[in-house]
Amino acid sequence: MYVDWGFLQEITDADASFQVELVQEFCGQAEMLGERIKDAIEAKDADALQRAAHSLKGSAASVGAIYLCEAAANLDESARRADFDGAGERVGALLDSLNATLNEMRAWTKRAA
Amino acid sequence: MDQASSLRILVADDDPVSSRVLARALTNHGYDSKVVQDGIAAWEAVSTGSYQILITDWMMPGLEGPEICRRIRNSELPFCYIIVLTAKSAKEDKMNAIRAGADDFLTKPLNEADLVVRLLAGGRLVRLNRELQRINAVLAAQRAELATVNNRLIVQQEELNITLKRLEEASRIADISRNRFSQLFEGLPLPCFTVGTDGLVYEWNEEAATRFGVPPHLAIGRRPAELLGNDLLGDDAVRCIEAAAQGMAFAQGDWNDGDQYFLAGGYPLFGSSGQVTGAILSLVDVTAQRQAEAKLEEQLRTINELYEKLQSANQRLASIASLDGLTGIPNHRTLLERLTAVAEVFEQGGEPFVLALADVDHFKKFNDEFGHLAGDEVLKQVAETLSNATRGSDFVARYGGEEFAVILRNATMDRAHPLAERLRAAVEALPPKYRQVTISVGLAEFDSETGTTTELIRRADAALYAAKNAGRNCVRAWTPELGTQQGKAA
Repeated sequence: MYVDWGFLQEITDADASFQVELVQEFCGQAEMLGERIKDAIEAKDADALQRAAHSLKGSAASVGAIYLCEAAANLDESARRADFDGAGERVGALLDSLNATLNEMRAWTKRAA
Repeated sequence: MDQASSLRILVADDDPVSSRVLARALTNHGYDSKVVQDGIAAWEAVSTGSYQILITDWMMPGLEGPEICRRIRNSELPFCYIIVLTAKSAKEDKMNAIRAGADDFLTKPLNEADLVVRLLAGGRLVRLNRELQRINAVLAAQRAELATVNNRLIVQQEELNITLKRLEEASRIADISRNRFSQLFEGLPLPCFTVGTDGLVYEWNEEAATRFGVPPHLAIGRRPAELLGNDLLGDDAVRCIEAAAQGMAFAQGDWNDGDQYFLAGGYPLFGSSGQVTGAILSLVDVTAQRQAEAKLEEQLRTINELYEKLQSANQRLASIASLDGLTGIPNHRTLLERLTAVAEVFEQGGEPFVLALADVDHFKKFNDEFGHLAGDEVLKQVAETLSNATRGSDFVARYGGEEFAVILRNATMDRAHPLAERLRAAVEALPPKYRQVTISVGLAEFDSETGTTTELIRRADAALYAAKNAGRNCVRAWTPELGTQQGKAA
């Protein structure tokens, strides 16, 4: 379980359609930020990396994607220090976490639909 | 939820997920909110002044949260409650946010209960701020009004100061002037006093005290009539005082006690609003003048009497005189006496005589032309010429007017005629000063037939008339044909 569904339930007041809407919004946002992170690593752009990681951390926190949030926070910290060696290791973990989270959410969305 | 609905909330968050969650929570609690995705849009929306609460993300594209806070706090915008959304919990970041002007924090992920609590606190602050602003506005208005009133007071105070200074100056001058006038009044060499409309004396100067023997402290408060005595202060003077005290511009009266004469002048006194408050009276002692006038009248009367006496004496003198006043030769009266005497001598067998009457030709015309003084001159000249041209025994007199008479003694007509002709020629020969003078002469002889001297004169007169008729400047003797009819021709 990469997503804290209880948290999502709580913040949406168990509003199923809002949950779906929110999850879909998050998925689009997370995919886009994942791409930006990859680009930033390649370009060794610490600032862009930090911004993307920071945004992803906020979005993940908002929907209860707890592991992704943690991974994004770690990357955010590395990027802030311009530590690309650390960042390279952490990006892998983040992308794994991102894929797992998205998969779980898409599966959930299918069920909900 | 009117507390909530009166507030407009701007949400600035570039994360669509969390901003959705937040917007939904706000809507659920009845708040009116708007979401923007970046810092620049957030600042544009906030700077319209229509948002009372701003919930802003910490990191955003364009402008970041702390910068927006700073801009709001440095602006003149109405109070805006700022809540910073952050995933961070580091104390240092929070300090930075507070320094930049933030009021509170919300940590992501959003806890709805925290949000509501902060919005309630923020709403209260916004309302307090609104109230404060309202009170401030009222205070500012009152302060402005007070300043206006104060300015007006300052202006009025200044005007009052100026007026006060003028009044002080006017009062100072009035004091000096009052003092001067009182000295003038006291020092006037005329008895002077004032009366009120009640007719009582208010002021009484030194000269009045001296002249009337009443000191001011006894005079003031009493009636002028009591002080001056009714015999001195006659009806005329009382009328003068009354008239002046009733406001007549000028009143004058004369009074006397037999020995002293005064000319009184009264002027009304006016109060500040123009009403009559009394009168000031001054008395000029005209005793010496009146006495001189009386003396002069007496002297004139004496002179008139003397003149009249002189006139009658002159008349009397003239009537008893024998000579003519103008020519110095015997007059008409003496002529008649002499004629009577000569006639008597003839009656008693004495010598014959002829009466010649000579008249200056055109004498009236001469007088009209050259004046009576010139006429008098001619008469004197003729008298002198006649006297010189006669014999010693003859008698020349002025008969009257321009007529002369000559008694040619011891002569009959044929003797008298050339004598008369000589007289006529002597006059004609006079050097003419104004014009040549001639005489006409009439002759009449006195004889037994003549009878009276009156008849003699009538005959001579008739002869003279004939001489005039004959063209003047000639001699004619009386003949019975001429008769004694009176005829006049100058």
